[in-house]
Amino acid sequence: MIVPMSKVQIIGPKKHLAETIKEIHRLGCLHIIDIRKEPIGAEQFASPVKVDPITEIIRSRIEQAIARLTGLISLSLRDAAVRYETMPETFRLYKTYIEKDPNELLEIAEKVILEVEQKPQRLAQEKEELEKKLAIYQRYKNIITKVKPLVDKIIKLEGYDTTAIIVDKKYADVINIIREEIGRITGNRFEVISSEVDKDSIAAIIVYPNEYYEPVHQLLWSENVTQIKLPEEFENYSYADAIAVMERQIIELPKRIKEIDEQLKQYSDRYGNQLIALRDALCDKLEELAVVESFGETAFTFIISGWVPTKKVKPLIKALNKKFKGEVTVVEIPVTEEEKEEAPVVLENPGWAKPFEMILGLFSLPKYGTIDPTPFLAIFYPLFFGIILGDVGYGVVILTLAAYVGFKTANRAVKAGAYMVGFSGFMAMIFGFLYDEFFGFHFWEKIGLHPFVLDGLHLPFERAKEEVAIAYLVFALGLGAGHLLLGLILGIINSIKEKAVKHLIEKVGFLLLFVAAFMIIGSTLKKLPPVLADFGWAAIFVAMAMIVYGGGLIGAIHIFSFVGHFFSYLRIMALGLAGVVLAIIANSFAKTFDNIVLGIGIAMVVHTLNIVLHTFSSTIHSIRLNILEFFDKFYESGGRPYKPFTTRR
Amino acid sequence: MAAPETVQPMADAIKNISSALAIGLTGIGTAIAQSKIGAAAVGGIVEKPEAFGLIVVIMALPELIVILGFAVAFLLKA
Repeated sequence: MIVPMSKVQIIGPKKHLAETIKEIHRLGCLHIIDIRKEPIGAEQFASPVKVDPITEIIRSRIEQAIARLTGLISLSLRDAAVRYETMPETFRLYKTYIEKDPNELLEIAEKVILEVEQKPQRLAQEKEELEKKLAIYQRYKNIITKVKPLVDKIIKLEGYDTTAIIVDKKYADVINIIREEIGRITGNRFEVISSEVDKDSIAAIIVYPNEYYEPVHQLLWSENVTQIKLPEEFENYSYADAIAVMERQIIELPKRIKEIDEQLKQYSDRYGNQLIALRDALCDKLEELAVVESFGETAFTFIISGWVPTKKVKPLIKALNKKFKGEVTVVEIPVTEEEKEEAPVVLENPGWAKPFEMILGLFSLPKYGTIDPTPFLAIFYPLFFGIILGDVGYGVVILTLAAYVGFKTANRAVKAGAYMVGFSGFMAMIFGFLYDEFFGFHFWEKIGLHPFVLDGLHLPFERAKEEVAIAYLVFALGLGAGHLLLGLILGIINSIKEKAVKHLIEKVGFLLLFVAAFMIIGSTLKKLPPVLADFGWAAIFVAMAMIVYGGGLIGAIHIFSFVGHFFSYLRIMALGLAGVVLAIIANSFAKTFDNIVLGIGIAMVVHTLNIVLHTFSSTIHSIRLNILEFFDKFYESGGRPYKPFTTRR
Repeated sequence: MAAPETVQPMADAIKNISSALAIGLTGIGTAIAQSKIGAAAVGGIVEKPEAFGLIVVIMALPELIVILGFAVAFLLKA
């Protein structure tokens, strides 16, 4: 249901403006109309409230404080959102802070920031640097570990320098060239030790008198050899010393990082709640200061205009009367049909249908004053899903998985999704009974039951049987006809609600077309008296005239799309058959293999694949049949979401 | 004139081929349409993620073609 809304004006003397804002913010039910955007009715004589320079300064100080608090929260509280929901202490502090006036709150915030800012920031900086260092050491460690066995062999000599290189195995000859060249440069006062470090590369250590540092490095550079350079801080270290220090650091640094984390955690435990409560209270204060510009004012009064759910008008009047002893009044403004279109939309549905609002959330909200399609979606989406999937075994799997996810998660959207899938799985079980399917096997036989006949309908009907398939096709189309007919009736109700005469004529035209087609087909199949066919043909002409009159050229085009929509319901049968055939194929695997374990294993894989594919396609197509075929008959989108002016808690 | 016993298998064969063509060709048609919509849809979702729901439904639009093909194939076989 779309919640009925009332337009209200809150009028009072200017001295109560700040307190009124605080009160409506606390009550959290008013969707404010910005007077600068919609200067209508009584607001014409009122101008937007002017903000004085002092308020501007306070706003800017609050913004700065919020930025600093947000920074501090992210430094010490990485799981801020989760803690916020679960810590009652935050709420207690928030309630204390929100009662204070902006200046007082700012003073508290700035004091806390000063107290908290320095140490955690320093710790966080140190942690960042240590993490960087650790990453560098770990990278170097891999390379240096490769050359370490060579370095171990070298005896450190006074006045000698060491350079390590890595050469691709394909170019192993280059080491000989280097050996010759360095021998020439140093007069054979050198040593090159080389060794394979992995399957692709060879490492070499060159030891030479340090007076030849320049020419040796030039040579290596000109030969394009990769030298292993140590980080800057190890410039004066030998490889052996550098490796030793790095290895020590790789052990030491994580300990220090852990220590910092501990200290940050202590800070978050001590200040976390306070920081979050302060930030939120300040955010709310900022909103209260900023919203003023949306209101109107005269010389002595203020006017706040907005929409409130009708059932909340009385509590709003009562609360403001109690607070201001009648000095601030709430007036309910009568609205025209045009103004009603501007009303914000909020949906209210019973628990069983509520999760399905999420599907509607993927699209635009329904227009105010029209029908909320959520309950229909909550009925037809699981119904189509069940008819398409229809297998007791598959239904049990889906229902179990959905229940598991639903109970495990704390996320509302995931919970709602799990409910929808679970409900659909349940419907798949129901239709599984009717189709006599259990993982593609006959279910009823397994549990010792026998089919029975109900009003001429054999239950269960095996939809995979060729002779039943036509009945299944007719069933799918019949279901589609019923669904579309309901859509048309809802379209007629919407047109009446909106007093849209042409729309109404078009919708009635379609309804007549539908009935006429039914009469003609019924008479042709000799299920209805032949005379009805004549009535049917006459009705078709009348219906077409009505459609073209009501909907114009687009209406005429809609006739063809209507036929398309009707046949679109064939997908229920097509997808259902595809699914059951795959399930039967999965079972036939188990029979074909000599090794029964292998056969069952493969059958289970195919069944799993079928469940995943079938669940996905059943979901998409059930949504599609609702959104595209059904909604097209009545749904009017374009509703503005209801955004009440409310505090964070 | 062919003997009646050869006419029936020929008619069945033509029916079978027609069914295969009905579903096969419409399948190809749907695939072509969906590939084009799919490419545009990815671009659309990147630009406007909130339109995801609508785009998924639009993606499923051309499937009507293959469903009608299936219906024809099915009626031919029946």
